[in-house]
Amino acid sequence: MKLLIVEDSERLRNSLSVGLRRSGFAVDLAADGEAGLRFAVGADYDALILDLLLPRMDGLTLLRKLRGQGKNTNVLILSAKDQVQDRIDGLQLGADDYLIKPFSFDELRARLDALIRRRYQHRNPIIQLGCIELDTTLRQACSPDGELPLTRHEFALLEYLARNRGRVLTMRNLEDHLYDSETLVSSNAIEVHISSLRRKLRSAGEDDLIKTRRGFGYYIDAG
Amino acid sequence: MTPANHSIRRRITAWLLVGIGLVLLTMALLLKAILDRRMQSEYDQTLLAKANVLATITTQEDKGVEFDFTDAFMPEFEASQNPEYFQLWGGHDVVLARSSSLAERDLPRFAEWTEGARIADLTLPDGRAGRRVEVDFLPRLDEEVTPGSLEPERVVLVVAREREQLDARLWTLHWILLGTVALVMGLIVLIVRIAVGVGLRPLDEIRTQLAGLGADSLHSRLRPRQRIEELAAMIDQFNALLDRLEVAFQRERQFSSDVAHELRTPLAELRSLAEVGGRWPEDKAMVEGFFQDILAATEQLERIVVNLLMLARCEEGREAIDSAELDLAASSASAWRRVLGQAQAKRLTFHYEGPPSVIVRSARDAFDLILNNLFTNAVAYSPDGDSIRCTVRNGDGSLQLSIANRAEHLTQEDLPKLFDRFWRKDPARTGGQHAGLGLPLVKAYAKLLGLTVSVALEPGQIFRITLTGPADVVPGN
Repeated sequence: MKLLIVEDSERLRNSLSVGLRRSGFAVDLAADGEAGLRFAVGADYDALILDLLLPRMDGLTLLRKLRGQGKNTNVLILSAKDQVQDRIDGLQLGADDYLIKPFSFDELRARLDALIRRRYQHRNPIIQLGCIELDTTLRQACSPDGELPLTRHEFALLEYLARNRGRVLTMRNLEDHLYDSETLVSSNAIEVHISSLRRKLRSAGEDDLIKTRRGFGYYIDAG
Repeated sequence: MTPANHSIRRRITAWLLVGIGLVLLTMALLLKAILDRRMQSEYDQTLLAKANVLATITTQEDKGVEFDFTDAFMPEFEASQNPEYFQLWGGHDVVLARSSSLAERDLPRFAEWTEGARIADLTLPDGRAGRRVEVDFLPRLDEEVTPGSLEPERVVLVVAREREQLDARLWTLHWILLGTVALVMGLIVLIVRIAVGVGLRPLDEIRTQLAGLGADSLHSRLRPRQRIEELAAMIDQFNALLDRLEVAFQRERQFSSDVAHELRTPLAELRSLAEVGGRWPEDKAMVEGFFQDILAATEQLERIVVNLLMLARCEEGREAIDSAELDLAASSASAWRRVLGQAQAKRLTFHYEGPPSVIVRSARDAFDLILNNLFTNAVAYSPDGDSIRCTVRNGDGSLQLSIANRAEHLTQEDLPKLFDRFWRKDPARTGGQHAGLGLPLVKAYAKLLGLTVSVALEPGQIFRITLTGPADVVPGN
């Protein structure tokens, strides 16, 4: 899952990006409103964390322009503005959630998970893939024999495929959602992850969960 | 106890109605008195005329007084229904004649004799209310009597008639008068109510507009459809008050928002750094970096809190001020040295204009704080490679110290807000070095020292801040 953080406080931006990356998200960062809008329009993010008081373009203007361009990215406003009217303004302009600073990192993560579940129309944080149970909150994949030892990227790959069941995802699409925009990804990185993931799934009893549509990409059956 | 509500509408209505009512009542009573008097007078004149007619037929003859009257002459004195009465007395109260209507009865006479006619009410012999006239006269001498041959005999004539018709007419007149007064009063009540309603309509309109005003509608103004002379000044004053209130509210809102941002953002940073660092402690490099960030965020918070406390102490007059001699030129140079590092990084130059030494009595620490803040601001907001000028003038009993630097983004509209706590030109308030408390502190300390602070944006985007005070500056407390 890929996030965009638009926040002018460098310290907060830094700590959030570290924490969220370690939680399995790919994270892009923008320090001002104009850069934030450029990122948000140019890529498909699963959620956008948006500060309101930003240099160059304030958060509400960014949000208005984003919605004006037809982008439906889930937006979570993260702001020090704590008045009821601020929250109403943000939500009425198309934000999906509003969290006031200071905040708990766990709460932020829980809200992001909820937003992402809503985006993919999964109410249940646990996704069942055959005999594999994918816990998107604990970021664990379990088979009847126990937890699968998936790496951060492997879990993210499996989760993204699972959330898009029945839909063929291209290599480019998978790269976009698995890696930060600034990360240089080797040409066969996704294939390596897929191969490793298939091996681990096979050992858990799921031989043919991830399928290949030659020339197009990978998918999991709609079930 | 809740005070009773007074109503202008009720008060004006009541005063008008009471006033007009009293005038109407007085006029009605006056009219009644005049009409009563006139009708009574006409009635009495008729009675007197009748008495005079009877007097003319009374003659003095040699053998005595002759009363030449027949009932056919004036039949009203013999009528069986509602008759009139007369009685004539001669000397020694001898009854000379009576009307047939009296039969053997007497009419009352006045106890004392007076010359001329006297008129009074009485109860007629038939029991009706009546009115009588009594005339005392010398009968005319008969033509056959030789003038001077005899002494005329004085006679008294009383003529009486009922007065019930008069009373009935007066009664009818009184009721007509009362009815007219009531009708006019009713019309006046109606007219007064309409007039007061129309007159007070602008007030009702203002009241409705005022009722719609609240904390959320401070942008609204009183705008009556017509400009009423008596209310114009009040409305203008009220709208001006709303202007000031709206500005104050906006400043208060901005202040709350700024405080929230200045305090919540470093707190959010601290919490996030602590939580993320604590979640993955095995990453030593990351945790060490986080410690540096935590220290910086803590220092930022500390600066804000310390500055706020200093401001609070200043505004409450609790900041201790010790007066001592200090050299302003040296203090300025010293303050510049403290920001020299940042100034050199931006290739800024410093120019001092003024006497080489300006000795004043003031509070050294407070003055240093003021100069530090002014130079820090000047360095922070000057464009790279520019210059900062400090000018000190001491003469004509006053002292003036000003610091000028180029401020490219400042506008005239920004000047009044410069001393608002937490105000910053950048609405995003990015970075933690400047919280917007420096100039409020300068103003608070200057006030303590008895100095005034003024700001100006001069041609060429030169921002000048000037401290002015008496030549021998002494602390306020």
